Amino acid sequence: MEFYLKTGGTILFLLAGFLVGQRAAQEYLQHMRNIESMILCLDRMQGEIAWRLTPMEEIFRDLTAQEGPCAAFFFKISHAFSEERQESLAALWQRTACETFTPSRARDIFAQLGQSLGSFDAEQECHAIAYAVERLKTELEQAQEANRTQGVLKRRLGVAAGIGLAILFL
Amino acid sequence: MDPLIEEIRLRTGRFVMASAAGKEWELSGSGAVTPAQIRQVMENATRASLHSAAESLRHGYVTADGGCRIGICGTAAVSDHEVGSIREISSLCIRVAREHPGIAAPLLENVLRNGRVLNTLLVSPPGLGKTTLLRDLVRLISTQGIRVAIADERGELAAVHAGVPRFDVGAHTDVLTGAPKEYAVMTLLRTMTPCVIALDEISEACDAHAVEMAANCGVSILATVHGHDRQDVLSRPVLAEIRTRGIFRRVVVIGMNGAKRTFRIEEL
Repeated sequence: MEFYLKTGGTILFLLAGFLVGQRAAQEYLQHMRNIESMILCLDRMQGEIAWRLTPMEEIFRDLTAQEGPCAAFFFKISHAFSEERQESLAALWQRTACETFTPSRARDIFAQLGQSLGSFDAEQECHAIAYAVERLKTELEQAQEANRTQGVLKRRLGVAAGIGLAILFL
Repeated sequence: MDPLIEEIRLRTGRFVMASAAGKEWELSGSGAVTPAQIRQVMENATRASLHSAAESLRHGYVTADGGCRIGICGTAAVSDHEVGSIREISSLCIRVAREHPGIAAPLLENVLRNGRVLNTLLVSPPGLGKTTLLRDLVRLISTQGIRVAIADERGELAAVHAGVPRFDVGAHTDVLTGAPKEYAVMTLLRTMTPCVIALDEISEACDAHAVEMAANCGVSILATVHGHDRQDVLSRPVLAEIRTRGIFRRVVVIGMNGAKRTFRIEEL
């Protein structure tokens, strides 16, 4: 009986350590996915503005169907757009970005882009979007690097902590 | 909103002004207009899509939902001797678009003859309601079962939003919005086989050419033009060909008698 309890406890400690490590590393993955989604959506937005001069409302509506974390952002923006709104697009974009994404430099870059949307001609808007995408790509490289180093480290630490606790338990 | 107001004018650093029947007055409690407010009005009018309104902006206006045309003044961005856009917007003139169902009813019997619409030119100085009159005339003609096509370059006549006209232009009316008149007339002739084509504001040679094209195809034309009377309008070089060929059979001159609009019908 004691053997089975000890074996079960050991497995639980190992599993818990592994899961804690995974959870800690998850934020790096999520951050990467957020940036990838931002870049994808902004690329599409740039294309729509440059080639079809598509109105913002239509772009926002289309981007809600996009997979990824940005869909929630564009859903909120699109919803706010369909109602009577008092705030400017810049303020709405900034507020929604802050509500949707966790604080990071990438979120700030994305939020700042709102200042350049809606009030300029297509060429200027495309320049602003391209600049934001360029900066986001730099952020993505850093996030990938952080995931490779910090993410792996946290996963290993989690497993190591689980093994340590299991040894103490035994 | 005061039902009499025809235009609202915003000028940076000045109070908001309203105008009607040629008079302009200050709207009480409005405060001085700021550049940020001008930007916000532009953003609301274009639904935050100034890039989509680039072509009309180049010509100094944008059309908001509901058919309100907003005239723009500011600094023109010129490149290769062409105005690319208007930046640093300093003044806006918002023309309130309205429907006046029935306003054209007294004209209908003069415009229709044996079930056919006579080519008619609606003439008045700016702000006296040419577009409103044309819109109602289109509605009334369409209600008679006659197919009408509108070349709505500025989006003021039918104010189409999301494919649906905001103004009642009749059940037998097709609207092509945003295209230059020449292109619109050719397209409508080819695709919609209309009996009547309605055009707002004939002001350039290409607009006059569009009228000629429609006339050549045996389609009736309803059009508006800025001017004080028949002589004023038909003496213009732009309309020379139209005058020579006698395309228009009727001219309706819109005038004011106090606060009331009057229509004078002249045969050509």
